[in-house]
Amino acid sequence: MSKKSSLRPRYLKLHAILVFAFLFAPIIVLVTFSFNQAKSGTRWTGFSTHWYGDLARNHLALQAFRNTLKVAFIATLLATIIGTLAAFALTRFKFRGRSGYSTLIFISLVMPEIVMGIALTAFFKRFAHVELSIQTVIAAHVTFCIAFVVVVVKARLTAFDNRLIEAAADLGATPLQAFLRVVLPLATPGILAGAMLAFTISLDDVVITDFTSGPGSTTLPLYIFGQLHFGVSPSINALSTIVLASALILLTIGGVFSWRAARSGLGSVDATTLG
Amino acid sequence: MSDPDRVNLAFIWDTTSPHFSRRTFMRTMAFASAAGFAAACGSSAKTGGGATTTLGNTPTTPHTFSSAVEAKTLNFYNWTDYIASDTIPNFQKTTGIKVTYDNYSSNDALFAKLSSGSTGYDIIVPTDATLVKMKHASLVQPLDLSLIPNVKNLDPRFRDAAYDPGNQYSIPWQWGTTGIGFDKSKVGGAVTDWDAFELPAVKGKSSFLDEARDAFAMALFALKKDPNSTNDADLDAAKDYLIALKKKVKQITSDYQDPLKGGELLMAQAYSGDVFTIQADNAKIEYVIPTSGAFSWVDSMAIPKGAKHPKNACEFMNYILEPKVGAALTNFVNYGSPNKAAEKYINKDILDNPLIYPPADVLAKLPFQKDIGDAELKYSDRWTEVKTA
Amino acid sequence: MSTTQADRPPESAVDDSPVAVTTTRRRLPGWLSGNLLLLPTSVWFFFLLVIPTLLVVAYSLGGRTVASPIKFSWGNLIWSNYKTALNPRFLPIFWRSIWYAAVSTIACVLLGFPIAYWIARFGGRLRNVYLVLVIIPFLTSYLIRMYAWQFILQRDGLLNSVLGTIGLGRGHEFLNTDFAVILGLTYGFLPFMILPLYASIERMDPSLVEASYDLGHGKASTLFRVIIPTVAPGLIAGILLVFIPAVGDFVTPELLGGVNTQMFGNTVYDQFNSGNNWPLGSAMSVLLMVFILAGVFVYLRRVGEEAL
Repeated sequence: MSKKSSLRPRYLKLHAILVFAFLFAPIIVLVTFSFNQAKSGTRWTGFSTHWYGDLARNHLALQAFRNTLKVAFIATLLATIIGTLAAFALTRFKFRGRSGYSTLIFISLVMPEIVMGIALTAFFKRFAHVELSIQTVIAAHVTFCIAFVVVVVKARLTAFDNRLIEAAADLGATPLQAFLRVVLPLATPGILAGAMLAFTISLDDVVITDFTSGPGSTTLPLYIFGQLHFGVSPSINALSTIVLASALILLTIGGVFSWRAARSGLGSVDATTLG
Repeated sequence: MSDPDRVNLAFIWDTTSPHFSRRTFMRTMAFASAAGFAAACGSSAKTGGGATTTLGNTPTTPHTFSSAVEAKTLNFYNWTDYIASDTIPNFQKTTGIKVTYDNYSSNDALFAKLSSGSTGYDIIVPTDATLVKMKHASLVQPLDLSLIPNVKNLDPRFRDAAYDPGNQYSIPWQWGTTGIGFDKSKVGGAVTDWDAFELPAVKGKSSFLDEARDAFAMALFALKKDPNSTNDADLDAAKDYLIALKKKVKQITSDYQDPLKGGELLMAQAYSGDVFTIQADNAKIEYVIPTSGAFSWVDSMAIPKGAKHPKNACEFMNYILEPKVGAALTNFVNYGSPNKAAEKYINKDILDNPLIYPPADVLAKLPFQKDIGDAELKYSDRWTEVKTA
Repeated sequence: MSTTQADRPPESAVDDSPVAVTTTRRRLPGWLSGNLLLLPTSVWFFFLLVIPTLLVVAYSLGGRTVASPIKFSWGNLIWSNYKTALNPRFLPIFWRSIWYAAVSTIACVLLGFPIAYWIARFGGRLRNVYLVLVIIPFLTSYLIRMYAWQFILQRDGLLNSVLGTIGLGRGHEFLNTDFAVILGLTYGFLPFMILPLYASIERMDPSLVEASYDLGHGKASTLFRVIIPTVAPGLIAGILLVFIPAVGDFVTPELLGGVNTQMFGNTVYDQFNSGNNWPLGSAMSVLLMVFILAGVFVYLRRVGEEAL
């Protein structure tokens, strides 16, 4: 990237390592305790893998985990699409009521979780007359995820150079082509960042999910919240460890792949679309 | 891209739910937008009004359910870790009714969830005081006792209790007391009564419950007042007691179990069975019923209004009241069983434990929470003052 | 990416923002395109945000009885809920929430900016890998991460043994303190700072920095004159995404806090639970929302963003 290596201050790298250490500190703890013998999250009593076997038999936890993934994937997808379109409109066009949208987005960020949970439940039950289920959980998650996507994507698109689109139009591109070939690639890092945020907050939500969930739609955070009383079972640590390991393996594969692709000159989206 | 919102909405609602088609959804949406805000408030006001409205359910004559055949499913909403591992599998095997089992962790959250709209559950297990609130708010419906012949197995103490005379609304699940759990090896001095929170060894290392009535009861017992008092002066004194106590404790929490086990907390206002469960992992933790008195409580199965499978729910209640099933439950969760007929199958060490089955003279000092009606709000408001002090 | 940036004069990277809107050659007029793109959001927000928000406002004017936590009627709007919500006894809790959120936001900027910058500028081909690495800890449930922090912070926990080993003494009370809550908030919201920062730094033209150095600016001068103004939109987004949810946070103080770390979110939560007072809880939420929104708009005006 940068030709002048003198511009790569060492302290930045050191800082990055420290921040990663901070981010992974509790992760190391929870992975360690997934191999603890006793059912204790606080005292090391010896190595064991029996919590992994335990997990395989813990149908409630596994079902909750499946629900969590389902909710997070669908909610992220919907919120990313809706939020990206909104961010694009709010950046590109000037029209009445724009600040109204900003207000709504901030409202969804600031509204205390329990208030949103109760208000959404009241809406589902009393207005829409829907049974609480995993669908209502997904709808609720989309609602609070949209704001995160909009804010991040919009930050990326701000000061977007409109002349690029005009140039594309001059070259005969239809608006749709211009959007797909010019705007979207430019916005991609922002969209991915927004989607990742949406995904993590959906994975984590407890309070709103608690209110909007119905029979059989318990998510993993709800399950764990109930477990906090007696201490979270190490089989939940085992589950988290498996998730982390899978993510790291995928990331390594992806990393190797993109490294190779970049080396053979196929990788960069920008290069192909704009070059 | 042509009409993405419609796709999304359809995707969310137009699913397997038999009660839902997109058309109904769109219609309700149209209604919602047309009738708008006023309708919203109207409906919330009505349901809020409670007692007289029925939330659009067909009114049920008390004690019998419609003869309609129910689907073979049951949605059961219980406290976390509060059931034997074979309770549900055996029920499913004998009846063919499929049970969906979910957990909650606080009465208040359960009440709030039910108040904001019915939940789809067929059985919930509120504690006595919460059950009373739910009865006032018409959030639960009467049982059909003809479907629960095993009700005769109950200890008489639970047949005609003040919180639900004649088991009209509820079948008790397990009962226990609210006392003190502590680490015997680290707490200097004798722990016998509520004043143990003043011991220097536990300063900044104790907790009391995040439940208004339980916390106030502790204060009222300690002050030698009626634990169900509705007298303003008593309650103000209790409030001051709690605000003073707050400076000496580490947390106000109902999640004291793990910290107590691990040593982060040395003493906690605690539910009896929780402490016995902790003892299995840490034998140094003890439970005491304070000498000046404590609350008994009982968690009871009830059917929320609007439940789709009330008959299956009654069948399940009847099943729980079978002696062997009830005994297995108690042997697993370490609380007292309300099931008299089950006692011959309950482990002897549980039956002989005076902390689980207290002798008559101690039992006399362990009242249930009374239904104090609107005076409950006096507690709520003072509790907010305690927590924000 | 570099092709694009090279085409663009450096100044345009600075946020002259959404005002610069040109749609002369579009077939659809701007307002129509804008509205079409906003249609999904509009529909979604109308039903799932506007109506619920109005419900909350209605609740805040309702009354309550022991049987029903909320009783609303048009004929009897109860404004005194707002008077109660403005009771000075809640003020310290409110300021504590602002303080916790502000300190956490600052910590997130200090921790997040350099790493986002490093990944975007020096991550090379592995940029995306590093970025995902930031997110990976967050694939485990928040609760279980906070639970792990409890282990680290408790009296006989990891931090105390490390401190003991290096001779700083054991037995410090970290858990259930201000420190624990701020640490938890910082930890929980750090990616909300890093990701938007990354997205806007990544767009920055590296030649700008080099030009600044070539023109004889020092490191600090380059940071404040070139880098920060260029990445301002990402920084603003990050600050908003950390500060706003942090003010209303409930779970972190619940898990890591003690008797004296109650935040506004907990007080509101209590009103819907043990406090048994939905109207008061709703009034508090409405006030919180109004206050934060006012603050946000003043802030955005000052930093030059027109709206959002």
